[in-house]
Amino acid sequence: MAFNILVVDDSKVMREMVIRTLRLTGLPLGEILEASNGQEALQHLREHWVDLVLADVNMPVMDGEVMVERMRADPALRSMPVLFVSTESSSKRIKLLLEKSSGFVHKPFNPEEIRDLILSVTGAADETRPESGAVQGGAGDF
Amino acid sequence: MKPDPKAELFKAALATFEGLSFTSPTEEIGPQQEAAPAREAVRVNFHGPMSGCLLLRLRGDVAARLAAGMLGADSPPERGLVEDAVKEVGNVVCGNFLPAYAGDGAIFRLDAPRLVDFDHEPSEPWWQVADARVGLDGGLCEVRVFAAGAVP
Repeated sequence: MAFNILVVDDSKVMREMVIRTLRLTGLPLGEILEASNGQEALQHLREHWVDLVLADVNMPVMDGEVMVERMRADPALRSMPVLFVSTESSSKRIKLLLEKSSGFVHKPFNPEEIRDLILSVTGAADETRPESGAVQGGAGDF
Repeated sequence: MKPDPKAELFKAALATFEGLSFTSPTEEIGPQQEAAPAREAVRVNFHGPMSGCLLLRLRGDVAARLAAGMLGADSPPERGLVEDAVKEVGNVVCGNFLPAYAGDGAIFRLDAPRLVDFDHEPSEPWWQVADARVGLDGGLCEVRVFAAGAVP
């Protein structure tokens, strides 16, 4: 199963980093879409099928939190997994973000963290390793 | 025990350069690095229990190498991506320093980072919370944090 993924970040270099890291995970990837803010992301989600969203939190125009709130209010997007990718280090804030999303990854991150979290939130089997197993996702750190 | 702001800022800068761009920053700074020409500067404003800004400056031609490291590129990326990379470094250093200094329960909001003149200084009546310098291949990075009020 190939994952179609939407990467949302106002920094083009960070979007490229995320995409590069996704390619290093070994996960089967389909289409990778990009958006520079939450509003653009919602537009993409209405026009394309996506399996997972990786989103920054602090963005102009529409931030990641508002984007997820709009998704949860839309029956068509409500159950789509969203992983926040952020510099946020406050455990209090991370807890609040986890209440709205499917998971959180701390910037910067490594391919293993992203892979394990994607498999965890999508429920997909790990076809990249000889032995598959469920892995607990959650806040990561470099 | 209160965290040492200078040490926390240094740790945040070191970890950011290592983690984002796979470079090897150093604590030691040599005379050639000291003499490296002034290049890019970025400012990140933050708001929360204390408000202020982080100023990060690069000396030497390190930005292109930094961006290439972040992107896994063999050749220097285009200028737009290089500037974006410098802004993102400022963003990540700031985002990691603030909770380390102000406490895990402190919640901050960061404005989008912006490039500023190398000699830029905050015009607000803020005090300098911390400063740190990190040696980089071909230059160095100087980081300073300014804020209003006391530590929360």
